[in-house]
Amino acid sequence: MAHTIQDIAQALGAECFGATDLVVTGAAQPSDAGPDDLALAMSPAYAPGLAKGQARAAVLWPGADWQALGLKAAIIAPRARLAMARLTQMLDTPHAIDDGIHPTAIIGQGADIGAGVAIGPFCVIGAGARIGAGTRIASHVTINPGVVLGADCLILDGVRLLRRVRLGDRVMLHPGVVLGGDGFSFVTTETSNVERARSTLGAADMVVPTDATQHRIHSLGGVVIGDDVEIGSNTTVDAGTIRATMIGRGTKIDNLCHIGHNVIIGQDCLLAGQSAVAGSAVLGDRVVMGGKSGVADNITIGDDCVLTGASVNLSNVPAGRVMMGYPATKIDVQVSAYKAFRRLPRILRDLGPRQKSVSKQDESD
Amino acid sequence: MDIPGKVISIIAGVAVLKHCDVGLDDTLGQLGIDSMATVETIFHLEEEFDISIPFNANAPAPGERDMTTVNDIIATVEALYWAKNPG
Repeated sequence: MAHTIQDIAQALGAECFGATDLVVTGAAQPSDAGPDDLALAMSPAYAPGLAKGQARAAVLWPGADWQALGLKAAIIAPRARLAMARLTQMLDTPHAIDDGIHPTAIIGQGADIGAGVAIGPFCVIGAGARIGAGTRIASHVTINPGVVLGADCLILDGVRLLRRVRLGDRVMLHPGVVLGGDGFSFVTTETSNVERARSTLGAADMVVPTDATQHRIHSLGGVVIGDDVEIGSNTTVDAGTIRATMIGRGTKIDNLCHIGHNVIIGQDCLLAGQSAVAGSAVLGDRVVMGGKSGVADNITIGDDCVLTGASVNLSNVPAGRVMMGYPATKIDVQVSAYKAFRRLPRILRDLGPRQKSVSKQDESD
Repeated sequence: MDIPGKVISIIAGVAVLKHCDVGLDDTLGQLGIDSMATVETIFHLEEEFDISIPFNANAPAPGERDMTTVNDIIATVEALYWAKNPG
């Protein structure tokens, strides 16, 4: 993967200086860089590392004096992480999935395999499944009968696409993703303790039911994933009950997230690791869920909300709000409440003597 | 009472830096202390000096003290501490 500094700068839309025809073969941390590496030093904190490493060229922060840093060439990146996005795209090596269909793969009857599709070892493709042109499927992937994949998807090892799953184009599924598992959906013959607890908020006692049988509600709706969605390792998206569980175009989901049945997630959302969305919740567009955050069932989160890490959102949230804590509130409310909570021990300590004087007055009555 | 020394120790602790790496003109942001860690820093200061620091997590409101640099924070803590413990 050899590139000139000039080529890289052009791809990054950034300015370059010095010997721009210098060729680099990889990227490295400044202190570990060899002479043919491009050192990534996007903030002044990396300057000492450049001196330790052997890099002749580096991506630097705006205003850096590349000559004083002993470099022969430099790229100045105004927005470091955006430069990192384009640079890593340029330098990455593709996943090792051989062209064509591996002889150990089992392809069901009537499966429609598009042009240029790659299917790795030990995959099982169900009857009547449709796989769009250019899609690449790694090893040990299970695709159930009738499942539809768009064009140019990348499906990594051990992914399982169950009944009634449909993927758009350029969808990326990391190892172990399971889409279309049955929803966690059961109902009792009589009013259940859950319904009682929710409607009375604890005012009514829970009772021993005469019939505790949990009747299964089957999942007929499947899962629909929009174009350019990326889903991280071991994340699960359950099938909808009647209509599909839906994830909108461009949304990115991290590892180990759970999306319940009937959920609708809008476009360009970001869900960080261990975030979870309970059944029938609706997320607008561009919602960000921080790590380990949660959304309760049957509520709506408006467009552009940011749900901070570990916040648990129990009721509807209007568009554009930043939420924090449990139960989640607007972040400023949560910080004020936390301020008061932290001061509480000292307030109680100072209140102590006054409490005594009040009780003595009571005794004298 | 070495107020500046204790303030710097607390800030260094939150920033996970050595005492000597905290400069008087550094802002909390420059030391890698973000908005939530700033709130935590203020609580450490309040609890250490037994004072209440009026502050807003984002920007000083009218009547609040400037808490931008380490020096500003030391000045605020000194003023509040000596107001509460005269002499």
